[in-house]
Amino acid sequence: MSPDKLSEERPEGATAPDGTTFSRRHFLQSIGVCAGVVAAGVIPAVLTAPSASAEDATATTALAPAAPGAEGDQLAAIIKEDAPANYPGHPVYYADPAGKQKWAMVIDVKACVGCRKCVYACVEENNIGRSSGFTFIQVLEMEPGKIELESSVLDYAEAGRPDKWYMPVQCMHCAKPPCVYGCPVQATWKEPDGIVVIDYNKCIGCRNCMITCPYGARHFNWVVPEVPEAEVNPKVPVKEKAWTVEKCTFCVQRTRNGQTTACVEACPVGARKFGDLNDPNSDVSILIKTRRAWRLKEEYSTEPMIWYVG
Amino acid sequence: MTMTEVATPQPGIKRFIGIDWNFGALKTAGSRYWSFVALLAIITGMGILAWAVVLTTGGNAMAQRDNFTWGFWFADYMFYVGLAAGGLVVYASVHLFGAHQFAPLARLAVLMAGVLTMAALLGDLTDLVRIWRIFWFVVTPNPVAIFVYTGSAAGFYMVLCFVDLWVLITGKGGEKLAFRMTLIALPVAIYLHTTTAGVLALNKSRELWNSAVMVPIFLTSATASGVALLLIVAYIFQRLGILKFKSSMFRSLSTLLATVIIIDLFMLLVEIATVYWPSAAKAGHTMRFSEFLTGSYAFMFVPVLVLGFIAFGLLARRKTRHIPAVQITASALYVVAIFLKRYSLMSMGFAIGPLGQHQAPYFPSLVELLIALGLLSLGMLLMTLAAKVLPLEVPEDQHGEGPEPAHAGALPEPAVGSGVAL
Amino acid sequence: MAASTSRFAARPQQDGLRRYFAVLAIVVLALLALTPAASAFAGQASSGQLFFYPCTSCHPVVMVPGATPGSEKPSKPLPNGMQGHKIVLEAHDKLGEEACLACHDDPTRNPGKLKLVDGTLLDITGDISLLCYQCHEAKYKEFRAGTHGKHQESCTSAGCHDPHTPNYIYAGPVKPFLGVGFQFKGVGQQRVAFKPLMQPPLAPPTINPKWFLIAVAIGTALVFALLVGLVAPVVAERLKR
Repeated sequence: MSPDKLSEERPEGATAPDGTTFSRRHFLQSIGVCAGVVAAGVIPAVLTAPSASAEDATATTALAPAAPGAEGDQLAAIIKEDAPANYPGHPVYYADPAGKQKWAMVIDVKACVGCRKCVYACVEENNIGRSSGFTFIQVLEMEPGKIELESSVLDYAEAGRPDKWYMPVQCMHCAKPPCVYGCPVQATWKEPDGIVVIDYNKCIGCRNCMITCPYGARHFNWVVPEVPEAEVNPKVPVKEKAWTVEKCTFCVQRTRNGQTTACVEACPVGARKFGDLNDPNSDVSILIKTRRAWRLKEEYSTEPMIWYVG
Repeated sequence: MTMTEVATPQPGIKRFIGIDWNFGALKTAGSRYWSFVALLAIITGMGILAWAVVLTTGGNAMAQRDNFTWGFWFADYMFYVGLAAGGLVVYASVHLFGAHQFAPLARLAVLMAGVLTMAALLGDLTDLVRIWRIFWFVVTPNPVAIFVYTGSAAGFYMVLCFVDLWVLITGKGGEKLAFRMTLIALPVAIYLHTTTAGVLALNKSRELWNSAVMVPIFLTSATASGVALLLIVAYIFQRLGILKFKSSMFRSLSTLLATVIIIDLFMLLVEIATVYWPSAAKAGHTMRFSEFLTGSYAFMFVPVLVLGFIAFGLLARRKTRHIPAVQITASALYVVAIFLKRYSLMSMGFAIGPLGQHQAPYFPSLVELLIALGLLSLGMLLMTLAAKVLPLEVPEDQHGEGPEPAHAGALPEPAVGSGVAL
Repeated sequence: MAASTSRFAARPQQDGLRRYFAVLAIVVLALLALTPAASAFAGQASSGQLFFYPCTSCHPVVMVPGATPGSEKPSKPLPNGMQGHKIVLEAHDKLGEEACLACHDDPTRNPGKLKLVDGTLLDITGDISLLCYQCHEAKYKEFRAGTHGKHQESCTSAGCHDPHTPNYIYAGPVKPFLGVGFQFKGVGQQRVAFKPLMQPPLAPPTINPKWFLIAVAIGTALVFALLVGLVAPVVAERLKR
């Protein structure tokens, strides 16, 4: 569309019938186009910005320390001890993820009774929207004698049945994660200590990672996550996750501070063990060595980091 | 970028970027034309409103959920990209395979390809709620993600089609440049289809998609449906008096269509046989495919085979292949069949999820349906306007073999308002 | 409410008496309610504490004077053995008639102590895992390694296993997310099904804003009107022929 090729009848700088010169009209047209492009970008952004309320301000500004002995005291204590290391929406870096650890989990399916306590401890810990329609952990009721997912039941109403066995499934934090390979904008990656994380600011919501995950472990926030004010965990983002993908993060806000994951803590029968594979004395290392451990969908060579023992 | 009054006796023709745009034809258009344009514009407007709902309310307005991650927009994306390629294959065969009987279709085919790819891309973009984040595509693209390749291929292909159209209409560079554009366009079209198929096929997590035959099936479905749609649109344009074609061209097109249809159906049958053959059958695989042959999804997949074979049957007989009614029916049946195939292909990834849970068939929500209809009517609107405004008729001297003179002059025809090629 | 207060206000003496009897009734009922529950749980509350310990709180050991002065002996705290406690054994009932004696010291001697095979007596409030170790060696080793259970001190004191009903696992006072606290069994021996916490969540429903539905209705009406306007003349012409 260069003028020099086409305007044999209109040499550059000549005057058009309406009096403006070519270059000025061209300039005005360009301004108009730029303004249109800017408007096209800004208007939807302004319309759709989630209500930036106190909920997603940084914890230090939104939550003032309450008077001693008051309800908010515990919260203030947590904030104080973790001061600058707050999210929201950015990748979480607490303790040094220097890669010296290799986080893994072992689930004892002999002990698991399918009570779903882990499911709901996780929901509470990770600010999963109460009406978002998913949980990070999905417990499947399996038929005995085989590991056949097609005959498993997700919405069982009766637990602890002796003629079934129960298998919780969540993000496996694979060593070769198909989700990381499939994300077009590199919004998800595997940290040096093994946890696969998501940057909620980058995720464009194309949901390709959900397609590539063989374990159905990733979930899209179709609605803005709604968490009751009193139950918000200040260490985990809430509104930033709207219209992005989220998943189990091995409670990165806990495990990098020396705690264990919420699901491991909540399991009443001790069916879950979380630990460092690099440490030969950790629960996971011992279990994998001494018991007959297996992994889900091993044939896909995703090399998941959750083993099952039974 | 200037607009001039062309120094010809034709009023209302303005030259812009080398093309003679016949705005005068719009002025003389009747009320029927404008009411059709108004109808399309209203539907497009509703589509834009639906998109505004997505931007303001979020993904909630769509029927896609965790268990059905991609929905109607993806079926449409595959469908439109496929249709686009078909037209380009026809156009490419003119130069690459010497099929000069298709030369009159060249401009129409390329225009359709560009408009359809644009509709496909817009369908993809309207699915993203935070659409302005796509700049990350250019800042940190993932070289292993096939999504990057298909997205960029579609964008590049759309631009290429419009540039190609400009080359064809203006005649710049003559036959040589047109030939060279074909050499670029056809491989890009094949690359686009390979990557689109790869978005499905390169997923070990979705058993029904994870098949190498997905790529050639995409190519043949695309060519077949594209040629079929091109045939229908050509007939429509001929009926409306915009263009005129020889009946031998349509017959040739039908032969091409029949050939590609049977190859497409053959590969589908090969895929089905591989799934069910006793020594190859895997429980998860057969269970998932059976949902589409005998299960709750059969209503969308079985017609693909039925309509496909009927379409082929209609075109198979040489004695009746020249009848327009036969050609149009077969083409329409096959376009519908391929749409149902795209819809069922999209559903195949989700009918039984990665954790073995059965999902009920997905139907788009009102918002998704309106966005898709809006895009369809936008495409039709562009074609309707282009029918009047663009010189789509290929001059006689560009039909035959041999090098073209650089400045071919064609007589302007008042009824259709084609322009003067430079 | 006003009438009753005025009634009470008019007769303060009867008011105090009524209150006393009400409280007494409540206390008695509570005690009665607890007793069958206590026996059903075979002596262990849901927090893992021992309910009937120490035995001497109900069965005091007194010095019984003997034949000669200075030859006093302690009385047998449970002269009738353990018949008084109606304990239902599950799983360990496989040990047969003498199941109680497999762990408890002779009831005529010191039932508050547990005895090992070699005769060592263990205090019931101490670490009795050594007792479990005698038969469940592999499990005990896993327990010590931390891979069975949740790194507790003892098999029973933290509220996991009750040796009388070892397949009952007490969940302890952990606040659940939704629902109420519960008690459930280990996998393997199930008599009564228990309800797990909630169901998997339902996907959020599709919601269309009102203005959008109105606009779509208007648009659809217009589209249909235009369609009719386009199609009707053609149809009319065809019909005329």
